[in-house]
Amino acid sequence: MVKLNPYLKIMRSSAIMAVVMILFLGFIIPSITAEIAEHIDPGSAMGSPVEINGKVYGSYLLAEAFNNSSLFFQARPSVTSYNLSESGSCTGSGDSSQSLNFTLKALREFESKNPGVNLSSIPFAMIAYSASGLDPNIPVEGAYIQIPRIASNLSILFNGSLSISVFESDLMQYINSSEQQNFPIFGSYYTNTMVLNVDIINLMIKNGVVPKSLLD
Amino acid sequence: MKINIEPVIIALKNFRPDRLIRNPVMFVTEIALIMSIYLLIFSGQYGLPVSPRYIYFYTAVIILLFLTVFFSNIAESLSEGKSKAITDSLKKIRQKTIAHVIEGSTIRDVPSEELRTGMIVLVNKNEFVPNDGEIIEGSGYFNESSITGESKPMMKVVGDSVTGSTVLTTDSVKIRITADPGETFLDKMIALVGNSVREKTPNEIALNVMLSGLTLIFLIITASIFSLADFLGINLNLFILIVLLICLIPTTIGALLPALGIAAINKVSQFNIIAKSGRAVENAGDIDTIILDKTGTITIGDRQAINFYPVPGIDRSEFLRYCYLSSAEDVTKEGISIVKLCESSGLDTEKFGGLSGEFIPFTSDTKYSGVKIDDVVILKGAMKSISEKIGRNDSFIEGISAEISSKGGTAMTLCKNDQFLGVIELNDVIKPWIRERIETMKNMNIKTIMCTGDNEITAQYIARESGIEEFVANVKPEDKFREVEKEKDKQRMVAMVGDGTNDAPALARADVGLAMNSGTQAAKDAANMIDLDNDPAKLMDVIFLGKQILITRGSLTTFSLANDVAKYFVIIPAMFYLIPQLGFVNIMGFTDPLLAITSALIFNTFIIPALIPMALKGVKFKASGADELLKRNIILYGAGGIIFPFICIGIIYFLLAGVGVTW
Amino acid sequence: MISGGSSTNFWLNFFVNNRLFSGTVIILIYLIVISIFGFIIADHIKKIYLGQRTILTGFSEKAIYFIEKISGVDENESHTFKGYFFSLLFFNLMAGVFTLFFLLIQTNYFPLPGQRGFSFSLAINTISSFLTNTNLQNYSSPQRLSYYELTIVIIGLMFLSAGTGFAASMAFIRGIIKDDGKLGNFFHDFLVAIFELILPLSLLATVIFLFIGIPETTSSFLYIHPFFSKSVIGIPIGPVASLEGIKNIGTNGGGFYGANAGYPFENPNWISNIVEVVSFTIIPMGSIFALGRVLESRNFGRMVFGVIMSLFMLSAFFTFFGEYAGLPTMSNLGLFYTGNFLGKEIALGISQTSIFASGATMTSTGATNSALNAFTPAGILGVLFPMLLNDPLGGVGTGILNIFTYVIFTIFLVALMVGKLPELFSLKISSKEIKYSTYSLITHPLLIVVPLGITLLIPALMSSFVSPRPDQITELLYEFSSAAANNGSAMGGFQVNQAFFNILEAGIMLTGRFLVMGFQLMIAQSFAFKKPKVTYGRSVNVGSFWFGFMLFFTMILLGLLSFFPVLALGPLLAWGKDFNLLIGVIH
Repeated sequence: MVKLNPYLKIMRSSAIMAVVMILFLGFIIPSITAEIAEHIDPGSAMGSPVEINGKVYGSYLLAEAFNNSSLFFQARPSVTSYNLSESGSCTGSGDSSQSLNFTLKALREFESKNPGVNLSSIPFAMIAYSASGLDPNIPVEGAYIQIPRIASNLSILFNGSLSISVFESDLMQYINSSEQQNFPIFGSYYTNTMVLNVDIINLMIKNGVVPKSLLD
Repeated sequence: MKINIEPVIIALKNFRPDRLIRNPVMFVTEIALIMSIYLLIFSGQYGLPVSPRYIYFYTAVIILLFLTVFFSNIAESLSEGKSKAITDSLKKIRQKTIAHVIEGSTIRDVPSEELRTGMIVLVNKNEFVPNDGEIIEGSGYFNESSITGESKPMMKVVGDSVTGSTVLTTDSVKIRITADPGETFLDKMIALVGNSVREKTPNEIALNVMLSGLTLIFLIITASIFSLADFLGINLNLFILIVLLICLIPTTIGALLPALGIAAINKVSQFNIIAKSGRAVENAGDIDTIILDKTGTITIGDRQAINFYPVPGIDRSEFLRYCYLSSAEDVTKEGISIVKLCESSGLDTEKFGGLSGEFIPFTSDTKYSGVKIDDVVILKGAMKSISEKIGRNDSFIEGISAEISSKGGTAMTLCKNDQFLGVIELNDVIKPWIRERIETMKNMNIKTIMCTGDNEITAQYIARESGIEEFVANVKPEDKFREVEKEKDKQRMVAMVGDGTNDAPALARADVGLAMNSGTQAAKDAANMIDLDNDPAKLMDVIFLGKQILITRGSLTTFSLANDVAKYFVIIPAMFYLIPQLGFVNIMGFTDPLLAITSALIFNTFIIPALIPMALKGVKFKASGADELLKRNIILYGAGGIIFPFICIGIIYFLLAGVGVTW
Repeated sequence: MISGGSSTNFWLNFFVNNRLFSGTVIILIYLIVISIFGFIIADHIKKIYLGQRTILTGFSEKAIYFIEKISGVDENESHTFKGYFFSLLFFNLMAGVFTLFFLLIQTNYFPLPGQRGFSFSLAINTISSFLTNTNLQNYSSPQRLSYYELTIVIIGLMFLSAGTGFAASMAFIRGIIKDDGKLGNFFHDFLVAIFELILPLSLLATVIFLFIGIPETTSSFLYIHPFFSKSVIGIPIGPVASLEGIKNIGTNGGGFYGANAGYPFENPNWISNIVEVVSFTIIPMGSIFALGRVLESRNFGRMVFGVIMSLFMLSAFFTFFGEYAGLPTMSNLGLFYTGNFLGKEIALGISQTSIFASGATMTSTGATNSALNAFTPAGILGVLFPMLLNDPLGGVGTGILNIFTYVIFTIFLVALMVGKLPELFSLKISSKEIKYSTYSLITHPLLIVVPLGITLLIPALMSSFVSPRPDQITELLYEFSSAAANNGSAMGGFQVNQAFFNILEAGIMLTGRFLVMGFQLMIAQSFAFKKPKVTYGRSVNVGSFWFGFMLFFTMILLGLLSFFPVLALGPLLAWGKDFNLLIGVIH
């Protein structure tokens, strides 16, 4: 074999190895892992989908805009309007007018939807936009203050067949069973609005008062 | 007192940019000076405020910038002045004489400048030695006071080297010239002190790279402030930017660095040591191992009588009498010391005044000396040679001798005719302060190896007494080279002292080789330092000095860098006093921005002359382990470097404000 | 007022209610956990550095042999700096060219439905970004990547850049411990780094992420029918767990989603959060511990660890306290305010967001689980300053190179201060090493300050900024620092996908990576010829507290000196008005 100039040899090796390694590490390895993962645990591998009667309504990890929002727990404000194919937050800094306006608007909306809630009991996180715009989690305090509103609306939906206090205790129970700490022992408590709202939907289904739009 | 204005003139001359460019920090300062003068003249065009208070401020800035460069130059010219003084005095020593060149059987007189290597010249009594050379015939006493300052003439014999411009005080000798004109020892010394210091040491080069890098960064940063201010809609005064730049670039160390380099060589010269390069001095600071000769370095070098042991049956005073008689005519150092000890032991020497006998000198064949008075022969010498001479042995003598040598001493046996009289104990005395020095070296993590031609037992004794951990006994001259090699193989920095021709390879191999001026030419050529006083123990002073130079440089650099913190915290808030939100950066609480900026610049300028004495003298330090030293210097120059300027700038500010200066 | 569920335990309530205390504890737990994992992996890394057999050698040597065979590499061919660095550069160039064309062709000729093609400048920027381990992502949703682009371009380059970094550190270590003047064979080092360290660890991380519930699929969308809506929406999905694995293990940081680890699919809860923090600190942290073992000076390893931990804590707590104190404009609204939750996820909380952000800039990861531009000025300062120091903990491999340049710079000052000529591990440091160490230390600030100064002067470029002006300076400083430090953390705040920024940043990233790496390998080359000396005592004890103190001091001082004016007019100016509030909270 002809002896190559050492630099030419390096160049040849570089080219071959770069392509081989990129294809091997970048394509072959992830594809194999993905195939295996889908076979072993299809649920989480597909992003923890919310499935009711075989239909995927969303993901437990992502907040959704509930159009009948008065009946459901409200997640944190989303800069991307809960658009599930997008994610993101404000372009401006925390002190920018963009951010301040958005936050104030969220506060006004929250106050108007939940009348009678004491301002000092609203956790700031409830009106602060999240990083993803799709954070389904809220502090438990943020869930408690929504109970009266949801309970009274559910009571109306059920045509007063059940008293508000029954719904309140149901909702309280949902929160208690779904709440978790964001770090063992030292973390603060939060709850997942998707889990709570699916609980509410299941309650509706159980009682046959499912809003029509859900089944479309 | 006569004021020497020469350094001032040199300092002013060194403003020339082509000279200043060697020192990038000062070069940038000078550019800044020129720029600010330009800005002052054309202040209108650049939209600078021109109210009187601003004009005062601009003028102050220009003066201070000028002073910064000036102080840097004066520091350099002051230390150059010192080395010039040294070269001048060396030049005065250099004598032009007439040399008597021997060509075959004729003698021709030629001026000393025309002498060439290999010529044979005759030097008569009270004549200058015309050039460096080696004695090939005769011997005599030479007065070398012009070079060494030692007024006692030195005895030199065949094979010894002599230095040009010294004076032969007795006899006459023939010497072979060993140096061409311009290459003599004195010429070399003059050249070294005068020029070689300009050559930067690798360490200085590294420091310069670092300082240039920082200067570049600060230049860019200052420029970026312009764009930041512009972006925030603030009209920045260019003068303030210039002040910030000058305060940030390491002017302190930049100004003192050249002076530090020259000061190093000067300080070595003060020790009466000629260093062939600045690098050698720097290396001295980094020595890991020093190899010392026992004789002359650790011990005084002369064996001295310290005790008498008469054989049983001989009266002590009688023994003393014989000792005295055997040595009265003996001019060797041992002989003199025996006489001295006899006198101090209470022997009345007056009554021997008239006694005289025939002195038997020491020869390398007989290995004894003595005196013959009438038919009585009194001899002294090593036990072995005396025993051979008289053909007897004595158990007492043997016992005492063995005991003495185990203590590192030498036993000298005395006999009268064929009868043993006793033993004189001679010992080489350890220099009183050497133990402390060795201890100091140990504290600085420097290993000392002692080389001696003595036997193991003696060497061990001396080593123990002086605190040396490692020694090599029974050393032949070439062994020294092996010792140096052994240490060099471990990548250690080695220093050693030598004077003989056979020391030359070791001297050349060592990182620091200190040759004695009394040594041979070969040794002096191989070494990178030459001690004019012939004190080998000075090697340790050189090491100490080398360290001091490095410490001074490092400490000043750290100090200079740490200073910038305070300057930032003074100038940035002052620069942006129009933005009240930035007020919390103004931790000094200065209310007059221009005055605050001026105070910072004043500090920046006058810290240079304030540190010149320190730069020239070197920082004080205690010989201790590196960790201890580091801790101390970090606190002193690092932490101190941050706090000190805050205090100083504060004082300057309030002093200026106090005397009513308000720009 | 928090009922905290069923528990009535006093301490539990105390921890839950006292967020300042609990947050501090959580951050400390994180720091302890990452140190432990670093310590565990250190022995493995040490063996790799010393060329010893590891538990993986049996498998890896076969793979390495095979790949060397097909690419014609002779692993016994050891190169000096020239050959080594040429191999490194050319290998990266080839990978860059290949992926660049692949990306351009794929996005422009075979786009996904609705996908907008990459412009040339954006493609250059993206490739430079992933090639240099930076992972700044100037592309945004419309340029969402397809499965092939994600795997081949993004994941492929993520592995390559991590492997390149680690190979460089192997060469560097070799330069120090050997004295034959050779740095080794880049291709072999690269393959060893991949097969013995990076690939196994990233596979392990991927498996853990799968168990946590992070998606991993070959399909591009999860189609859902949102409640009470007739539309069908495709949620972007793909090999997220695989990408997360190499993204963190390789200290890359580029996320699958725009919100990076703030997107619940990438980081759903505290478990995934701590796993991610551990996985992006494990190699840098382990390398530091390994350093002490490789150089047979555990004290040195401990000293470096101590210095880096101090910086880490400084950064993490600065961020946490800043974020906990919050923005006065928001805290004054009268709500129940427990810190600046703007742009943060509830499942992670402020403390875990702070430690993640600070860890991402201490290492060269640059991932984020929050929206950084919603941080308070004090908080962003804590996240920013490690990048100004060129990521003290560093990326895979590069951490060692970076810390060494600081060590050499410091040892020069320290040695002088104790009256010695500088030496490190008994190797003389000559003016050459000082020179290259200075070069690499000044390159970094120059790469940040020069573009910053230029950009600020061009109004057209500043027009897409929406924040107040001091915040704009912070955002720009953050962007360029991230590029120069090859970090990839993005604060945003403006339209980055402009030809000017794309090309400028590509230049900064490439220079910040390869020029600096070149300087650092020159240092290694210079060391490679030196024989260590047998010390009598130790001249400067580089493992001592005071040396560590001086190293810390020098790093902070250099950072402060280089960036004080920009910091003063950016974050400090913005912080000025919040300053009293923060002081009030800490006391």
